[in-house]
Amino acid sequence: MLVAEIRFPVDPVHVMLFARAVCDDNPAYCGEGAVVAPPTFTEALQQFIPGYPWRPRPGEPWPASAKGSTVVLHAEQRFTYTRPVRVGEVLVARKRTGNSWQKPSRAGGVLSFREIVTDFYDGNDAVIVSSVAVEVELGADR
Amino acid sequence: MTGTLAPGCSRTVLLHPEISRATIVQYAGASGDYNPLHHDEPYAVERAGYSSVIAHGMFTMGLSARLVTDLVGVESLREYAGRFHAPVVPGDALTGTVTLTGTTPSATGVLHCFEVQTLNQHGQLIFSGTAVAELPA
Repeated sequence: MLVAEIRFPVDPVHVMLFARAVCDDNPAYCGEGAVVAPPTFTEALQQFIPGYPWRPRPGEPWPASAKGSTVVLHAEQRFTYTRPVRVGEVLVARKRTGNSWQKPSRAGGVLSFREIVTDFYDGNDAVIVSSVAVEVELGADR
Repeated sequence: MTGTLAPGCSRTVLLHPEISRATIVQYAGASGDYNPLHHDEPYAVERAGYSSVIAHGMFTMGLSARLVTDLVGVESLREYAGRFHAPVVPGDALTGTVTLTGTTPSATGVLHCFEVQTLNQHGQLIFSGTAVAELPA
């Protein structure tokens, strides 16, 4: 099921800041010679998701901030590429839900896994990066 | 080009000598992920049961990507995947090892397959992954 379509401009300053944040001083990512983005840069799509829940907003509590509620962790991540993301292009990201499953936790509870699939399309409507994030929800009994 | 790495051979690199809270916040700012697990100590300790705030898993995956791209560049990368095994907390040092596990001819070149492992200063596995790069024959 397609849940969202998000425009994602690849700004050179954003690419530089992201490269710095992952401690990668490859000149291909920074300065006037920047041409491509680091392999995990598409994670920064979060900056462009309307209403992204992990963006602070004045007067609004974090999601599920009550004691006893669940915590969601990023367990696994897969990327496939046909080419790198290029500085200056505008991508369109299409997000959808993937598979979901459960398994028992070592603590005797239940771990709930789900895949979030995001395909990044270039100006020719070709997928250049596919991202699959596997999230795990830890129950309040963890 | 894979530097001097031959199939079966490995290269180990100190990826970060000491993760700080600033390191974590810097990644939050660049990625846009301000989940309080990564910057709010009471939330991380009392709500989630960690000893401190923890780094984003995608910070570690992004940091570890260099192990492969420093060898083959970014243009040739076709797959990069991994699993997060343990949290990274402030004060941790991270060391990564990349191993060229094999090569396979493809329609347009040669696929180079890599394994990546990132450990903390205690030798604990933090991140394990694989990568595939397609290089000219």
